[in-house]
Amino acid sequence: MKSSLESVAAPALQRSSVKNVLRDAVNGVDFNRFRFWLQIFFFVLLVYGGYAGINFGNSLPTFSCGYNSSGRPGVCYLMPLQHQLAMPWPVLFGYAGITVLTGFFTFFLWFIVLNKGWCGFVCPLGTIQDWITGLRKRVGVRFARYSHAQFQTLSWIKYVLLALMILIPLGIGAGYVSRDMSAPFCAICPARMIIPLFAADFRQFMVDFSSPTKIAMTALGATVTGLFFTGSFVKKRFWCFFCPMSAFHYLLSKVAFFRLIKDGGKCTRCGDCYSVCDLQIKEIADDVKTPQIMMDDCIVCLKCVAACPEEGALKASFAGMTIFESTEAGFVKRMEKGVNS
Amino acid sequence: MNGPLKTTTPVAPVPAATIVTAKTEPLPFGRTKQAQEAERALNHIIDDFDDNPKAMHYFYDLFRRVYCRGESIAAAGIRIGTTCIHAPEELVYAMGATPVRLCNGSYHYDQIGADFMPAKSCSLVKATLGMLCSENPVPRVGKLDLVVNPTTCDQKKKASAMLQEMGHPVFDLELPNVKESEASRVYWRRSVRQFVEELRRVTGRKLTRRNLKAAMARTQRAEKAFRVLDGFRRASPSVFLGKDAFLVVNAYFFDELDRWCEAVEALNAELGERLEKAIRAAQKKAPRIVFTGSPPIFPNLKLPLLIERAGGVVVSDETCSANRMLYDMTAIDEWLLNDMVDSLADKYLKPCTCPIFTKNEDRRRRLLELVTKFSADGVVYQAFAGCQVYEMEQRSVAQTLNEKGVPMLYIETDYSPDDEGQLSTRVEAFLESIKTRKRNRA
Amino acid sequence: MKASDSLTAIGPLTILALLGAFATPVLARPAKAPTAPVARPAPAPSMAPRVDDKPAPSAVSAQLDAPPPWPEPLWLVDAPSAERGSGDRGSGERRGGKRGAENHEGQDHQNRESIGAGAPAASAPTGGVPAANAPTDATESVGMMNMGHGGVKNLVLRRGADPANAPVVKLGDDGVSLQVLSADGKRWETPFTDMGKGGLRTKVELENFGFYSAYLLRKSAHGGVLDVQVAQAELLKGGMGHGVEYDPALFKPTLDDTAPIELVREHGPDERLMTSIHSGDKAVFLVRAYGKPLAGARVSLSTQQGWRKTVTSDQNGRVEFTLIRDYFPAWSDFNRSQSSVFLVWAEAETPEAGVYNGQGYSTTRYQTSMTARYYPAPYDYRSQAYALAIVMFVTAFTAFAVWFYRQRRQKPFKEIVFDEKLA
Repeated sequence: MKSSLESVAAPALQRSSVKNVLRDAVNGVDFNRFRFWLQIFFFVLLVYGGYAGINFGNSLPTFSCGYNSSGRPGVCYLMPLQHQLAMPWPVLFGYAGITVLTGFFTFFLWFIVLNKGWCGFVCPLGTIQDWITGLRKRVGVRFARYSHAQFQTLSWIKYVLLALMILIPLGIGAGYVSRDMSAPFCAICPARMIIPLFAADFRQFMVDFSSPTKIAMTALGATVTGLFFTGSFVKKRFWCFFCPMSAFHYLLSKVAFFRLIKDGGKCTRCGDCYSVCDLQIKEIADDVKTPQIMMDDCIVCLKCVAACPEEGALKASFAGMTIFESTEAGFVKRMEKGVNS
Repeated sequence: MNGPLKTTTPVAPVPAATIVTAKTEPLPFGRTKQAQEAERALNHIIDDFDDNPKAMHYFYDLFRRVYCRGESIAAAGIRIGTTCIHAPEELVYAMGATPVRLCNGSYHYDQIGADFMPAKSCSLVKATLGMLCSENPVPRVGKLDLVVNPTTCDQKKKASAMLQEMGHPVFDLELPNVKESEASRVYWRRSVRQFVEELRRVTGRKLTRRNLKAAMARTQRAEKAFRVLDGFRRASPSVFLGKDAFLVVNAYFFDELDRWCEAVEALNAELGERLEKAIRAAQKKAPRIVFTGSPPIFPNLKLPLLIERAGGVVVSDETCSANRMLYDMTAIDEWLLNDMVDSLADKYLKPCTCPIFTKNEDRRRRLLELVTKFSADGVVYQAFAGCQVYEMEQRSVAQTLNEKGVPMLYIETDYSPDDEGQLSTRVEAFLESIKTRKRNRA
Repeated sequence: MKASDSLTAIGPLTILALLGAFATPVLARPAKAPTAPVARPAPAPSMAPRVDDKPAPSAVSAQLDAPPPWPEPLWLVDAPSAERGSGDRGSGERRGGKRGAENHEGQDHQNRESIGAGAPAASAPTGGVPAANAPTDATESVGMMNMGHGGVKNLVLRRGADPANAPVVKLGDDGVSLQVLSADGKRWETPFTDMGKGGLRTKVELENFGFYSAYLLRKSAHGGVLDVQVAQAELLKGGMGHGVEYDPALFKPTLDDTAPIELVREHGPDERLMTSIHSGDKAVFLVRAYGKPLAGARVSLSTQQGWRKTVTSDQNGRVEFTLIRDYFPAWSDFNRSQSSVFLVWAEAETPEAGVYNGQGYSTTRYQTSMTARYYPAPYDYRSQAYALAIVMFVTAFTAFAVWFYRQRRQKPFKEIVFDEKLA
């Protein structure tokens, strides 16, 4: 075939220029492979970066687990947040308050760069889930879906966890709650048990019997880890649906630089984006009115953009500049690769 | 010997049994009225316009052979007839069968169908039924092993029982009437899976990952070729006329898939050259029209032809016999059967702008998007008399287009050629008004 | 206070000297070398509270041929924290101890305050993250403040070989001060005062993160022997944040090349700035003299539970102890941040002779000590087997539940599921 989609899509505009060539190359990228390798890069960085002396600080908006004490290049913000909130109230609301605010502000600055793209591309726990999904595909087991009703109900869990993550440490600081419950979310987070394993650190893979509270929290953590394994095997990005970091991100996401934009006029509501969405987000397909279409569950993996056949219907933009958008040519290329795979 | 009376050789008396009645031997098909109808239409398509693309000759030739001469284009193996684009053809191909779309555009069959259908019925359904109750109808697609009838509009729904009476094995593919709800999505996915089961029963084969992928590769090629073609229609001034576009997609109904793809790819190549060489099919000032509504199917390309003969260009359309048939593409996340079949099902349901659904927001948005994308000046809305759903949607579509300042012409017609004169007047007036608007605006 | 102290001390001192004079030949006879093993039963030596560091009545001891016994080690320990009811596992109450004090009740002002468990006085929170990276892990809930990593240290001086029963000490002369040495070579002094609680205490404020070395040096000559007693302390200002955990220069112990005898605790390979020592850990020490490894020194370690071990340093000056596990309370009383103190002291004798304070001596005995806190071993209260069992059980159970659910869905509804095995 001599003519290709690239040269035809908008006949009036096609002038071969460096900018257009670059844009076409980006929009036509083998998206799955690109994302796969980018995730590996970030995984190595966030699980082993500490060995190279890299230090990004204590306010990272992604699961760079603090329990991976030698390998981490910085700490997931949730851990220092929980510890800070557990300070005695006179201290917390006194001079230490500044520390809390600076920590939060640093976190915010990190966050707004990638918005929830931290989840889709950087988070090592997310990468692990994607690997487990790859394993499931290899084995040939079909994935599970939540029904709409289940989706609506379960969607609240992440907000509940976020609230508990803040309230329990405050309770500790006020003296109502035992100090054994400090870092309550870290205690149940599957990343605590799993990520250090990648650095051959088995110390967190334990149940702590030193007090009833500790027994309960660590046993609960082990249970959540067990659920994580099965859940992420049958459901794509299982944990992300319940993650309080995701909820926390969403509350701050309005002002972020990196955005997912939808042009509702171009949308044919074909639902391709919904089909590929790991988190089963309906709005990406059905909502044709809202331009900023990133929902609270969205991990900005951009699979939807890669799977949209309508030119310019979905865009990933950074500070207003379009980085990656849906194109007919890119879509066809990716689907051709898939069907021939 | 001379005399007024000529002697004639005595003729032996003819035995009664061999008396030939008034019913003569059937004419060769090429000389029937039906063939003449098709020939007339094809001639208009070819001759009324200058400089048709050379690659179009494949299609002209195809229609001449199939519709005018009655040649057989029956595919080998199992043949599955479909009465609507909602039947997922990828699945049919995957199971080793060939799908053939039965929707018919012939006035001849319309009249046959009128014998047993109510008077106020849609021409398309009448024609299709008329064709299916005839022996060896044209296009000669061969004996059908199954007719898949999605439950879409009322008339097609009721036609299911009639088809069964005619002796065809029919499968009712259950299509929901609402497409927004979760329940309908689940329902439709189940229907499609039932369809696979039915295909398995008919073909004796199982659906496997490999054969579905192979089938999707073939249809993907067709969809891609169509999209390229569609892209060319955006050029202004046009390089390609609507009448040819309709013909190309109408060929998809029955033509062999890979051959069709090759022909379209050749056409695309030629159009690319034409674009570069600035060979135009229509004038710069020709009003650009988006055609929507009841599907024009060869030989009933009456209205698009009228528009283009009057100087307009049909740059795009929103009909199930052209654009909607091949435009939407399937995105697959996991190339595993359970996901592939579900994604396919979604493609056939979610973006569909057929008026048989309860809401038509998507159709209105689609029309607006087409008007913008193809730089159209106006919309022509065709509704077949008796097509309740298209007729009822006319109001909301008109309102939407009006709000955006897009002129619309609403035409109610059917397959009979009698109203051509009246229609051409209206069309010409419409195109004139568009030209005037453009001149005034400029 | 001091004058009267000395006066009241004369009486018992005389008796002591007489006793010692007679006891020493008895005890010394079986010993072959002057450097007798220190493993003597407790009684008499721990009895010496608030003894002046003035030389003992030399008249008595000069008459004896045998050299005076090795003095009880002097040592520094962090003062107990008053906060948060951290339990005391070293107190004598539990052990119903053999206290020398019981023999001398009348004179008893012995400030037998407990060493206590838990932290030195709280330091300002640095808002950082307490996560352990010590050789063995302590849990995240033992905060910085509880682990002795703060920047302000309160040290108290004690004497005795048994950390459980060693009373605080009052040395006679004024102006006793602690020398503090930082990793970058700075030296300064902090004075010892009584701080209203009796005994000698000092407060050290550490500015930068890292390990500091502090010591108190006493010399006394009597019986022809010069005793050089050093009480050392390794002070750590630990923490997280500010990038300190990535600066390897901060992880090393601070050494003093001018010290005549020095004990250095060898840090673990993964040890950074959040040191925590646990039961069952190896505690490795280096004995040095004037910056060079000292072989053949006698090094002893004793714990608050009464365990004691003595080894000799090898040619690299190195000794290794494995801290025994000694915390076995009732389960409901278990406190994982229960700390206990162990005492390490090294002794070496050299034939240096000279005169000190008018006393001649023919041999010099060097003695140095160090203390550290240790915590219950994590593997005493943590079970990896349980965690693995729970994870595996939950995974298997939920996987089975999903499978079962999928199987069941096929029957009632006749859900059609495609066989992925067909390639």
